Amino acid sequence: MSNSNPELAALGKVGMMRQTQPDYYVMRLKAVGGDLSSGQLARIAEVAERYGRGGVHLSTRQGVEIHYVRSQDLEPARIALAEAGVEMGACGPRVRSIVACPGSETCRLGVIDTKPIARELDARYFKQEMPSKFKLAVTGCSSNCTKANENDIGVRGAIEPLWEPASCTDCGLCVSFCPVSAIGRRDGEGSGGEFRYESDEESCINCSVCSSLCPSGAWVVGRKGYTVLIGGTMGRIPRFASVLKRIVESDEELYALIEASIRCYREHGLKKERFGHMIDRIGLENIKEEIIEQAELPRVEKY
Amino acid sequence: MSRQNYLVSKSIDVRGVSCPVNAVRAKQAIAALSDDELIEVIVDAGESLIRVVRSINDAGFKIITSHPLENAVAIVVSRVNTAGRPQ
Ligand code: SF4
Ligand code: SF4
Ligand code: SF4
Repeated sequence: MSNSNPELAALGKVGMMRQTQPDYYVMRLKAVGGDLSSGQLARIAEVAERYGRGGVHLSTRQGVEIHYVRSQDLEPARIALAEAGVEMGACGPRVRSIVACPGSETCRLGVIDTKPIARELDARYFKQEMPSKFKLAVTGCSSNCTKANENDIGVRGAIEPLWEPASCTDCGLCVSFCPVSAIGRRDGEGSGGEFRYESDEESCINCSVCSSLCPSGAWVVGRKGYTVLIGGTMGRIPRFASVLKRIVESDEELYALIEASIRCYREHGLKKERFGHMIDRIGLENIKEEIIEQAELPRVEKY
Repeated sequence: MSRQNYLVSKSIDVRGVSCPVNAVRAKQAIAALSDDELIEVIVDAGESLIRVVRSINDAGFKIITSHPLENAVAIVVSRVNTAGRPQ
């Protein structure tokens, strides 16, 4: 897609892209966290029927696209969608639709409630201009269904397990079921020696398997929060995200870290350079230090 | 201190049986036990183990002990939940 044509760039801003076929356009719709009501779906179907070719395409980012819309129909189609509360998505160097898994609201494995975070991030950042495209994802636990580490910023539910000796029956099962073999059993010193189960902080993926599966409830949730990941991208030059902070316990700190990450990218990112590639150019440790420092500063309120 | 051994009277091997059939078979075998019996359930390590343990816990049965095998785990289970897992 060429961005040199100002008219096309302007269309991109509102979520419309030119197709291969002359005079046909794609309408990319926004669905925060992949959520749409049945009424909205019905309206999308009507619009696709009336202005497209009666079909939709589901994108990899939980969005719906209506293809084969003629240029003169873009505006009436947009209005018909807007009436039902269906907004246009984003293309180009901007913050894209926020992706989220169902999270703890309905998923048994969920550690965090993902949807309110996705909606908050949408309200704060959707469609804002960035050096390159910018993707955010929220995922409820280490199963990582929405692939937090393939996004420029990923938020993932995380727990830090704590072992309570009084409840442990020494069944040994946690050593076997920990998905990354982070749990080990240690014999105590001396003859009467007490045993201990330990989870290795470095290799633990904060998944909550131990705290939900221990048959005696001896592994409990010590701390619970968000793992914040930065700099992930798939696409032409893939890069897995790096951990900015392992367990963030408050919403306030979560949003401060995200805000500081976005500011950092805006300040240092070159045009068309993805956040992760910027991080590699400057150095992860430097970037992490800058973001964490900035996030700790009290924010000056705008007036 | 080393871990205790228990006397088991029955055994079921659900290695190679896919989810959720492995859990269903294990639960049927556990449900057929008498109160003082223990059964050994042999299950593949990894995701199968996690699924089977979750459904044994959810059904209210009690896992007493376990032994790692090669790419599998033997778990010893009783039908009655004596120790009482917090619900
Ligand atoms: S990431 Fe976790 S909480 Fe979210 S859908 Fe997957 S398993 Fe459920
Ligand atoms: S699974 Fe629970 S009861 Fe069994 S050894 Fe581990 S902590 Fe102890
Ligand atoms: S949280 Fe997950 S990775 Fe960490 S010790 Fe528990 S089971 Fe293992």
